[in-house]
Amino acid sequence: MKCQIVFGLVILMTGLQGCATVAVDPHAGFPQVAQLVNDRGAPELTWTPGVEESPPRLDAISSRLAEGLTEEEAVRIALLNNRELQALYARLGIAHADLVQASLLHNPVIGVTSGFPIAGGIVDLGFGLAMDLIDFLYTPLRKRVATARFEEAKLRVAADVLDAVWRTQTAFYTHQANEQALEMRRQVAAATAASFNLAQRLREAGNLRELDVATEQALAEEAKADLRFAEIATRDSRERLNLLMGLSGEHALLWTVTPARLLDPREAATNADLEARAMKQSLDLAAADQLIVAAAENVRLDRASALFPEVVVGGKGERDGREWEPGPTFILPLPLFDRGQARIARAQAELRQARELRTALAVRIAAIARSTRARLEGYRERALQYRDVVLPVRQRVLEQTQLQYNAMQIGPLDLLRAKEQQIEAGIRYIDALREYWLAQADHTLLLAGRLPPTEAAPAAPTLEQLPRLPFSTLQ
Amino acid sequence: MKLQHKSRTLNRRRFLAGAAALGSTGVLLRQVEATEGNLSHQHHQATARPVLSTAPQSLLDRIDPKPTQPPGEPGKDYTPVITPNNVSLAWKVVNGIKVYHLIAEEVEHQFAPGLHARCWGFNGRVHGPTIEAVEGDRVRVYVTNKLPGATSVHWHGLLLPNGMDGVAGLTQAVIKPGATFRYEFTLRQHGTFMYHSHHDEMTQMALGAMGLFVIHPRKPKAERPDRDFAFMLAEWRLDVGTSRPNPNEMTDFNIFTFNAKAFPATAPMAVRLGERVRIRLANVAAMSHHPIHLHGYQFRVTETDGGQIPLSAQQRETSVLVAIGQSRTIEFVADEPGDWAMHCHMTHHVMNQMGDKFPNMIGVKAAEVDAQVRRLLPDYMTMGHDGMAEHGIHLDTGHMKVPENSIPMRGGPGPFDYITMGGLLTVLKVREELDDDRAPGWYQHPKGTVASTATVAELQRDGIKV
Ligand SMILES: [Cu+2]
Repeated sequence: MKCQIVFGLVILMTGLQGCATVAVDPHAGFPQVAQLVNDRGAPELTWTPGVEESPPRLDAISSRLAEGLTEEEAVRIALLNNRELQALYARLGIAHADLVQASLLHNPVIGVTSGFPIAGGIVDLGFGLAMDLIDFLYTPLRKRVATARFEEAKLRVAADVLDAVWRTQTAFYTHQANEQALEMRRQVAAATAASFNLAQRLREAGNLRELDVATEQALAEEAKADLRFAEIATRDSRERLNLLMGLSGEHALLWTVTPARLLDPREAATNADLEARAMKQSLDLAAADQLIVAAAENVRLDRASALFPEVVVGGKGERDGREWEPGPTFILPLPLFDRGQARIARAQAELRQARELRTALAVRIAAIARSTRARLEGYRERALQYRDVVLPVRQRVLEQTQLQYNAMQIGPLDLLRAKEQQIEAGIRYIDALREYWLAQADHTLLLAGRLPPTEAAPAAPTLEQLPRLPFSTLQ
Repeated sequence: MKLQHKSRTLNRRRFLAGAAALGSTGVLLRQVEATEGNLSHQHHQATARPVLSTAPQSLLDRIDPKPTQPPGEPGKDYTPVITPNNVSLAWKVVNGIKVYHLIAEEVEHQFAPGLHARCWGFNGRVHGPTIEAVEGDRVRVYVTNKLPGATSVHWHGLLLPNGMDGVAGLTQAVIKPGATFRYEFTLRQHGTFMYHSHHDEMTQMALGAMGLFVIHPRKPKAERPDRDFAFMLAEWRLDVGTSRPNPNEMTDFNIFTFNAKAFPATAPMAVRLGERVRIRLANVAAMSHHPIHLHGYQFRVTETDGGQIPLSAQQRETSVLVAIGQSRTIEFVADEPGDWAMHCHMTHHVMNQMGDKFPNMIGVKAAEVDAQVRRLLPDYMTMGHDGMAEHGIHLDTGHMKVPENSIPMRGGPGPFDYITMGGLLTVLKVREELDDDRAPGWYQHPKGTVASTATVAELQRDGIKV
C-alpha cells in the first residue's frame, strides 16, 4: 500500500517534470540574436549548425570580390564566412543546454541491498527508491536563473557579432588607408629617386658637389626604407582583413579595396543624443540587467534552500527472512552547522556586485559616448581641413613652384622637393581620413549598443571578472 | 671724311631752319651777345668757388647769388634734353624765377611689358621728370610729399647754400607726409646732376624716388649738340611674381634700368646721320657701377658731374664707367648708320630677373631623367643644359608659363633673331632720313653687309675645313 504511494509520487513528479522540461534545440536563441543585430544595423546573419565543415558558398561572393571590396561587402563576407563567428553561435547552444539542465529534476535513486546468511537460508533482499523532494520546489527557481543567463548569453553573442562587424570595418579602413599610403610612398620614392638621378647627372656634368649628390642619395634611400615599412603594414592589414573575412587560398588573393570614400561635409556624422541612445541601445547594459536578475534569483534560491538544500523521500522494501517489510523513508539534513548563511552571503555579494557593475557600466558608456563624439567631430574637422584647405594649398604651392622653376628662379631639385611635400601632405590626409572612419566605426558601434572594444576604452572589463560568464575570444 | 663733311652741312642747315622758326635770327643773336659778358663772369664766379675773390661781395650774395640774367629759354638758350621714356618737368616763370613743383608719391610703374610694380617717384613718374634749367637761372622747387613716410630732396652735385642741400636731419627738417617744402637757389654751374630723396635713402631710392637735373650752359664753349639724351641708371630687386621693389636687398639686384625701363622697353635714341649726339649718364644704383659701352663709335667723355673736361683731356673711349653717384657725358658725331647697341658691359646687368638660385645645368644630360620626372610632374622639362638663350623664346611664344608679373631671363624680338639681352640695353638708331615723330624700325642693311652663313663655295675658296 505504502509502496503504491511512493510509486504514485514518482509518477506524479515525472508528469510534472514533463510539463516543466525545456526541449533541447540546436537553433535556440539564434533567431533572437539575428533579430537583435539586424535591428542594430548589421546585415542578416546565417548559421547552419551541423554543416560547419562544408565550405561556405564563396562562389557567389568571389565575383564581387574582384570588382573592388567595399566596407559593407567586407562585413557581409565576414558575417557569412568567419568560422570563429560561426563557432560563437555554438555558445548559444551551451547556454541553452544549461537552461535545459536547470529545468530537469534530479533523477530518483533506486538502491538494492542483499544479504547472504552464512548459516544458509533465504537470501535477504532490500530495495529502496528515493528522490529529492525539495528539488521539485527549487527547479522553477533554478530555471529562472538559467533563463536569465540564457538571455544574457544571447545579448553577449549579439554584442560579439557587432564587435566582429566593428573589427571588420576598422580593419577595412586601416587597410584601405595603408594601400593608399603605400601608393603615395611609392610616389615619394619615385620623386626622390628622380632627384638622386638628376643630381648624378649634374655631378657628371661637373656642376654639383659630391656632398649634394650624397644628400640626395640619402633622401632616396630613406624613402625606399619607408616604402618597405608601408609594404609590411599593407600586407599585415590585408591578412587581418582576410582573417576576419575567413578567406584563404585563392580567395585571399582575389580582392582589391575600393579607394577611400570622400568625406561629404553635409554628412552630419554625429548624433546629438548619442549618450542617451548609446545607453538605450546598450547590449552590455541589457546583459548586466540579466546578470542582476540572475544574481537576484540566485539569492532567492539560496535563501529558499538554505536550511534544507535537500529533502529526500522514498520507500523501501526489505525481505527479512521470508517477510517483506515495506515502508517509507525520509532524509532531512539537520541544519546544525551549515545553515546556508555563507551561500546566502555570497549570493547577496554577487547581487551587489552586479548592481555596482551595472552603474559603473552606465557611467562608462556615457563617458565613452561623449569622447567618441568629440573624437569623431575632431577627426572630421581635421580630415576636412586637409581635404578642403591643406591639399589645395599644397597643390598651389606645387603649381607656383613649377612656375618659379619655369622662370629659372629655382632648380629642378627644389621642384621635386615640392612634389614630395605635396605627396607627404596627401599621406597625412589619408591618415586623417582613416582616423575619421575609425571614429565613425566607434560611433556606429555605440549607436548599435556596444562599447568599442579598443584598448583606450576597454569594453566593460570588470564584467569579465564575473564568474560563469564566458566571453568571446575572437580577437 | 665725306660723312663728316656731310654732317656739318646738314647741321648748319638744320640750325638755320630752327632759328628761323623761333623768330628773327638777328634779335636772337643780339640777345645772346648782350648777356655774354655777364654770363661768362657769372659762370666763373659760380663754378670756381674760392672765397678769396678780388671783387667785393656780401656773404649772402656769395652763398646765394642773385640771378643776373633772365631765365634761360629752350631752343633759344639751349637745345632741350631728351629723356627717353620720360619727360622734362614743366615750369613757369614768376618774377624772373623758374618755379617747379615736384610731388613725391607712389606710382604704378611698368619696367617692361609684363612687369610692373608699385614704386615711389615724382609727379606720376618713375623716376621723376627731368628738371631742366640754364646756368644762372634762379630756380624755386616746391616739393609736396604724398608718400606714406617723411622725405626730403637732395640736389645731387649742385652748388648751393647748405640749407638747400636737402639732407633730412642735417640741413633741414623732414618733409612730413602732406607737407610742402620750398627749395630755392641760383644755378652756378652746368652739367648733368640728379635729385633724390635724402631721407631713408635706402628705402626711397630703392623704390625709385629720384630724377635727373640737367643744367645747360648759358653760353656753351663747345658746339651745341643736335641731340641731347639723358639717362639715369638704376637697379632694383623685384622677385619673380612680386610687384614692389624690395629695398632690403643688398647685393642681388635683378632689374637694371635706363630711365627706369629695362630692355626691351627702353626707348631707342633716334639720330639723323651726321648729327652731334650728347648722351648724359647718371648713376644712382644702390650697389653697382655700370661700364656703359656704345657699339660702333668712339666717343669723347666731355663732362663729369665736376664740370667740363678740358678738350685736351677728353679721351676717346668706347666704354665709360659710371660709378654710383656719378654722372658722365659723352659726345660723338653719328656718322655711321645702323642699329647700335648701348649697354652696360656687366653681363648680368643685361639680364631681366635672372635667378641666382638656379643650379648650373650646363652640360647635364637629362633626357631619361625628364621622362622619370614627368611621371610625377607632367609639365617638367630640364632647362639650361645648353645655355639660357632659349628660355626667353619659350616664354615669348607662351610655351612655358611663369609667375604673373615677371619677365625672367626675357629679352625681346630682333630683326634677325631673338635678342637675348634685357636690362641695361638700348639702341642708338642712326638713319639718313628720320621722321622725328616716330621711332625708326629695324635698320635695313645694304646688301652684303650682314654676317651670314658661309657658303660652301666661300669655304672652298678660302680653304676652310669644317
Ligand atoms: Cu651695369
